[in-house]
Amino acid sequence: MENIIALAVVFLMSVVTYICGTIGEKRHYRSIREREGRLKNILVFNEKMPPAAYLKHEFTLVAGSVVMGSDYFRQVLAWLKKIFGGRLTSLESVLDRGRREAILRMKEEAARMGAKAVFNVRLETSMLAGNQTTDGRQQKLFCAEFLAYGTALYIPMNAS
Amino acid sequence: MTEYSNPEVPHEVNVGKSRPILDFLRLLSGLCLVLAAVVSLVYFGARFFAPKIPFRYEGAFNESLLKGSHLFGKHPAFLCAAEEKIALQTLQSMAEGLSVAMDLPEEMNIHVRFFGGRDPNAFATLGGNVAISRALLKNIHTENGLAMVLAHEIAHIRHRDPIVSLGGGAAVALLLSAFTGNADGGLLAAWVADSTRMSFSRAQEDKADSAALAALKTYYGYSNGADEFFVYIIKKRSETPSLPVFFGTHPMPEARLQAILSSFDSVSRPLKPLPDELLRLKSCWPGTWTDD
Repeated sequence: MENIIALAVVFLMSVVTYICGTIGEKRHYRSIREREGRLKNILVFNEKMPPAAYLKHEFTLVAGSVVMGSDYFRQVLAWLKKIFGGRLTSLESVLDRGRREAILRMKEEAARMGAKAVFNVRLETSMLAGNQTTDGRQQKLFCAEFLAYGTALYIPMNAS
Repeated sequence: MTEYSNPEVPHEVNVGKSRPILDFLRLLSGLCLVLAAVVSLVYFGARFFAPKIPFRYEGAFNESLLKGSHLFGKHPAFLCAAEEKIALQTLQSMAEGLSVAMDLPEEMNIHVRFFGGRDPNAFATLGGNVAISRALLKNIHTENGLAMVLAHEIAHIRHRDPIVSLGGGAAVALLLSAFTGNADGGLLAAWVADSTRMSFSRAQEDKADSAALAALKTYYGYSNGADEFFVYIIKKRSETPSLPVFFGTHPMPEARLQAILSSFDSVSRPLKPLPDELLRLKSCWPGTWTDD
């Protein structure tokens, strides 16, 4: 009986979180696209050295970070997929959203200081899952922090 | 800045196209198939190998099993301890006689016990233990009927049915505990605790029936009277529709009754009354508890 209840809970949670997760993802992507369009004038490069045109610019560190979690349904799907192997497509969009959101937040910071470009952009990802709980099991929560940072080049306000 | 620009990147460049619901169903059904295959393999493997365990090991395992079982404790309603002890000796010698008739291997010793009080039932479990409920004895009036029950349970032990049944179930429970990560073995413990109510397959029951009938023919020279308990249980079921304990372990009494009746000699045979020791125990018991 307990097992049936546990299975029913998994099923119900999967259905609810699939619906909520899909709606949430669509909404997030809409926001990402809209902001990417708005901030496309701020250029981002992974190159270390800015070109000569930027030599008179000031520079500062800008960073954007986001913690993304996946919904329950995706985790169940990924767990199933891990048994057989292959691409965990259910988690790909979570990671994609995380990276893009981090870059956007970094760009937003750069935009606040009037920067035109961010050079030497780096992306870092660290897992927040896998912590040991008190009963010695791995946490089943999947979430990751995405950090985007780079050197923003801007013209100082008092410069002519 | 002419040489530097950020081209428009296609939106779904890093996201694979997937149909999550379809993927989910496909993976789940695949997993179920794999699991079913593994469980069947383990189940039938364990059932195949369980009888290869020498019988002497059953006894050691069974002692720990029976220690915790309330079934074999003294029933508070029955105060005829002395009569019960003598009656058990009689049952024990009947069982030994039947064991000889059934050509039981030397190492298989049968131990007869009483259990419970309400449900007319009997079962065989590990270590050669045959348990007969007090209600069963109360409702049986001929030695032939009782011998059939005993011989049937002894036949289960001879065929190693208890360990086959327990082995298959325990192996699957162990596998599922490992798979679900339930390390405390709750499922396994429940299975072992429940093993006194082990259910045997229809084939096992039929095989035990025919072995028991053959034993009765050797023991008495005929199998007439072997139907008593089945007739009683069918009658009782028609009066009270739910008898889960008995029918959980001994399904389809009507079909089995037919097989038993067909083994009878066509000429009428005298049926033996119960031995005096058993009659004394029955007369010691109060009259009302079987039907309460």
